[in-house]
Amino acid sequence: MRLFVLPTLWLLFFLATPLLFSKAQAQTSVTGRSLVVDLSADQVDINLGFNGADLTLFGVKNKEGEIAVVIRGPEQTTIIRRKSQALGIWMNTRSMEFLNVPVYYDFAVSAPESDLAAPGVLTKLDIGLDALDFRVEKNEDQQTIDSFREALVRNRQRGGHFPLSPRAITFISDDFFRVDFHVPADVPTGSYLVETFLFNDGKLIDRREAKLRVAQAGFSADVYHFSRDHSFLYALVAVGLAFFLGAGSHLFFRRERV
Amino acid sequence: MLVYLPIAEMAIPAEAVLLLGAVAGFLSGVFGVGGGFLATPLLMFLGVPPAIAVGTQANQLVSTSLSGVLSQFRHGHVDVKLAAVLLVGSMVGTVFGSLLFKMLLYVGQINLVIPLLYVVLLAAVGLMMLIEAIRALLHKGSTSEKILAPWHNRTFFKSLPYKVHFPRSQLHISIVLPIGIGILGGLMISIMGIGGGFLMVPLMIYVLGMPTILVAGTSLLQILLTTAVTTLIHATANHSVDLVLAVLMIVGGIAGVEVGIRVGRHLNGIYARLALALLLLVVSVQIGSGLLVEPPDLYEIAMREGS
Repeated sequence: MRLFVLPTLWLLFFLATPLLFSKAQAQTSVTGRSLVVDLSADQVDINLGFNGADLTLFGVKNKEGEIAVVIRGPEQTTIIRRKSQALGIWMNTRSMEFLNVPVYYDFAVSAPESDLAAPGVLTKLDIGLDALDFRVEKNEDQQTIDSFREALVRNRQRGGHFPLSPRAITFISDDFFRVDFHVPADVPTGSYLVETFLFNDGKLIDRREAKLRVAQAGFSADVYHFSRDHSFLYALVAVGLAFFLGAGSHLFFRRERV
Repeated sequence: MLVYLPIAEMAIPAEAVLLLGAVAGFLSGVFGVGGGFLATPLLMFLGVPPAIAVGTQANQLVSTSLSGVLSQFRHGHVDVKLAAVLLVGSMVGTVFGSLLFKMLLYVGQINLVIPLLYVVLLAAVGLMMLIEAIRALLHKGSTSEKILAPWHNRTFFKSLPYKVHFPRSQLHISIVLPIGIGILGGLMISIMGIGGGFLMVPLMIYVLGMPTILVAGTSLLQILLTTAVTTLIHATANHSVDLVLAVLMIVGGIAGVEVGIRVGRHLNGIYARLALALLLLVVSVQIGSGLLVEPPDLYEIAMREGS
């Protein structure tokens, strides 16, 4: 048996090698694609000791042009409130609801945004913070919307969920590039989208997208799911644990005190 | 060291939480108060959503009050019947409190109401304790109970209906009073995430006229049962109890309580009350100034319940 297995494996290996090595090449030349990208990981596991994650995107372009990479989390309705002074106390008096705000957004460009494409194109593709178009349901004047929108971006930047400036794209050779993203420790969970765009002369030539799953894993995920799926049992465990620790410390330290 | 909280869905420095629990436990060991009035605002300051800070704090109080109750039981300093009546009141208060909490969250004024309640309550109790402690210092001979005229002798409290006998405390009082105090306690646990011992203890002494020696154990037993039920409600209905956060706080708390008890033994009762009064006032002023000073950013992203 063994005698046959080994040659078969070797045969498979030789057959597969050219396929493996030419995969990138094949995609760019044979299928006519001018852009190929891959993520270093397709999921971010959040566990008890999660301290943020580094994420790298590698890409090959075989046409002239500039690159933009956008990473963003699921969209959420987000309420932003404004304080003003009433009776000497600062309290929330006005609020605005934005319907489609990504919980996380970061981007990288190989040239200033204005050199990539016209503002209209960037807005359509959501490239850059200024290009993000948040919808508002209420009828408000543009000035109010702008001030709330600016405050929303500012708050998200302070929390590290929106970038202060675009990240750099490193070119390893003329057509081979990498982008390093850092996902902070309190990144919201959900399904993320990583989009890569290739522009030439202000026109979009090609685009690729990759999915990224950000979710709790291991012990954290177990605790989270337990609390949702069996919430009463979870509650009993929480109270029981407190009883156990409280009674335990009483017994332990009483012996010490005597 | 950052630890990821699975329910709060955020990372938090473990040392900070342990220290916070230890400080709360220390207060509990020295003064016999839960220390929640300090821990809950600090948790929110660390970025924990208010709902989870309140829910998890309730869980921590279960452990602290249990170890306290067990010590009191050993000395027989618990009036179980009175605690049961207080519990009835606090259950009503807890239900109303949870509804109020949800309403405030919906209206968007939770960040105003909670600090405001803290400021008013802490300042009121702090001032009362301060005055009482200073008077006791000035008249060293007489006991403090004699100076603050006991309100429980007033005709209004005596005229209330539904009188019940509490043999352990040797009291014959209207059941309305302990139930009312219980409701206050329940409201505080569910809205502010504090046991409310610092408010209930004086009320039980001055309004009910309970023997001082029984007050701590009885209020602790009531707090233990109320926080246990509150934790069950928070965890089942709101998913707002974070086990990882709770365990960190409990462990820190246990260490703090032991240190606090040892320090408390060497502390004169009057000076201990003076220190607690000043601490309450400092926390009150600290939170209050946050409401009066113009915030650096007028805008904030609204916090969502449980997320």
